[in-house]
Amino acid sequence: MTDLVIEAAGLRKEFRGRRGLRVAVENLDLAVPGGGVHGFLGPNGSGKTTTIRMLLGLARATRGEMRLFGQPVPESLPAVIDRVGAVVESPKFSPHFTGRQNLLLLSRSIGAPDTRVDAAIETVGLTGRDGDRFKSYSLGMKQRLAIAATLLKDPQLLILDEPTNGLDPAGIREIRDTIRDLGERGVTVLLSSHILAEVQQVCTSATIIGNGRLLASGRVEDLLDTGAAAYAVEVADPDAATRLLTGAGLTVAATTTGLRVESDDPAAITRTLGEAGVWLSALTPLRRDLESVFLELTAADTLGHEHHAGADDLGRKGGAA
Amino acid sequence: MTGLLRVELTRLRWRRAVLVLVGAAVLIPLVILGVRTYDTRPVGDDDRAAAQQQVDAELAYIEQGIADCEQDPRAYGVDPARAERQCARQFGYEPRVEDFLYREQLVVARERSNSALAVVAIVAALMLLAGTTYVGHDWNSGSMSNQLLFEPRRLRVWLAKAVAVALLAASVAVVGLVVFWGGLILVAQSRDLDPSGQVVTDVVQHALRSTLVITAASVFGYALTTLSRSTVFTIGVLFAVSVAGGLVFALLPESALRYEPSTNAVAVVNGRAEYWVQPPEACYGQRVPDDLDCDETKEVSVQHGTAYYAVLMLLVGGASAASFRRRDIT
Repeated sequence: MTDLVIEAAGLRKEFRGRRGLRVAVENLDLAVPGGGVHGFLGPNGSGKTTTIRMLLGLARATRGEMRLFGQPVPESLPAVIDRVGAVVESPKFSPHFTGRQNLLLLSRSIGAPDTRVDAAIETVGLTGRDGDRFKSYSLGMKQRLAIAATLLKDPQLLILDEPTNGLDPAGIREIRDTIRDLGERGVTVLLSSHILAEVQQVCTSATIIGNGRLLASGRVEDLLDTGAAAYAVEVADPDAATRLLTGAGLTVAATTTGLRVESDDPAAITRTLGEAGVWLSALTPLRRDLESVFLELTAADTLGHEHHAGADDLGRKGGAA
Repeated sequence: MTGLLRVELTRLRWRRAVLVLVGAAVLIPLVILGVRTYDTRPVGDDDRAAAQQQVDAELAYIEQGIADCEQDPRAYGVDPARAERQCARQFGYEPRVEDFLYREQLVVARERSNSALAVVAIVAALMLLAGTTYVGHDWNSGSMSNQLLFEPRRLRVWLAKAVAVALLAASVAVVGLVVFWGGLILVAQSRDLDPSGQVVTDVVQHALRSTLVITAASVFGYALTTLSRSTVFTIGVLFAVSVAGGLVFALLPESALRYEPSTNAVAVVNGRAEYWVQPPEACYGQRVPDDLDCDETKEVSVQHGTAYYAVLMLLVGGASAASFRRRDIT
């Protein structure tokens, strides 16, 4: 028995087109624990949406295993789909139907009462506009309707792919609060988003992927603690401190308030300065944000990917020769 | 499954393009009924008066012609010595009222291979378009993926949509054909041209086979569009087949004509269809071998037509359902 709501192991997705084979997702492992909000991050084209579409049975995995609520998917999707609400990419509804008509068709397809449509419309703030045609909606209204659709099932897992796209700041805040609220109520939310500050605010855990591969995964706190740590150093003589610390092999940069020293050992900083008679007035650990972690990981992955591609090219050339 | 079917029927009901096509499919049999009723209307007093006017005009023309002929016989190739008799003979035609009163009579049995075929062809084309536009809209708008997030059993979804389209087309066919045939029979009865019991039985069978063809056309349009995921592609294929099909069959041996789509469709609707071939040259010789088939008329039976379309439907429907089940949904 597992307490993971989403599990994927060795997931791979290939697309075959005119330009040959393209691998969108490669050997991806994913583990999303129950409850809370889990961020799913990656640059454009990194395979986030493809992974989500595979989990939901919209795309077929070339290889690998997936489970939702411990049930293998897509085989057992009919058994678990009633517990899953999802918005994949842009909201997709019939443009000639009204918002209400679109929701009614979805609601009736799962045998839910029509009153659930009223409740969902009210929750997302579309009351009064639900009789308008979908094509007349703004992007923000379309997003809200998509979220209303996910609420028709009273889901235990909500998969949201860029849910705040096109929303104004007030709308973004509303959706963020809704997501946080759902997470606190025990609904597991998988949130794919480009807005990293938003993810950092609402997510308890996150997975970062690049080029279809897993780069990092875990609690947001732990992710922020990875990589090189840094400290803000305040001293009376910054120039002398810079000389001493650089001489000790540390990376130092001047800031408006003092120095930024990259080190995961604060004792080394105090010892180096203290032995030379330079006394610290402040030593503060600098916390990294998710954006810097994300950029470091994805930049490194891009370099690695290019390196691999170069190696592959060489390999291919060698093979051909 | 029943719930899903109800949802698809509602979706159909809410689609305006489908409603327009349904409206046209009910209206067109009415229009054709009206045209046939008018074209075969009994001769009335107005018609007689109009015919008499035409007779009078014709008589005046004849009299004038005789007078002109007698005045200048050579211009009419007449011997002046015998002008009076020959001119009268040259214009000797005596118009009668009956000559201007010809009107086709309504014969219900004859309408089966006449106006009823037009009704079936048009309604089938409209229902094919309804099946195409109905599911094409799901693909174009991308709402298919949303639907599958609520019902991931794809074969069920495919089937529910197919059954919904079939039910709609069958209902429209029944309404349209009952209006058309019922109207024709009522008109015939009102003119004391009661069709016999056998004719009515034949008409009922004709209408049942027509309903089958119209229903199959709608499901074919749905299945092909689900396979191609594009309304435009489906319409393009059908257009290409209708245009290039004749050319292809013209290049093939004449024996291939029995596989022409329209001939087989007529065979299903009418119970049989005929096509013509050029008999072998030996048929025109002095001694024709007894076992040589010199018949230039060939027949396609209703069984052949039904089997032809059953195979076609199985191929397209099977490919469509398999593709819908396997392929990624965007």
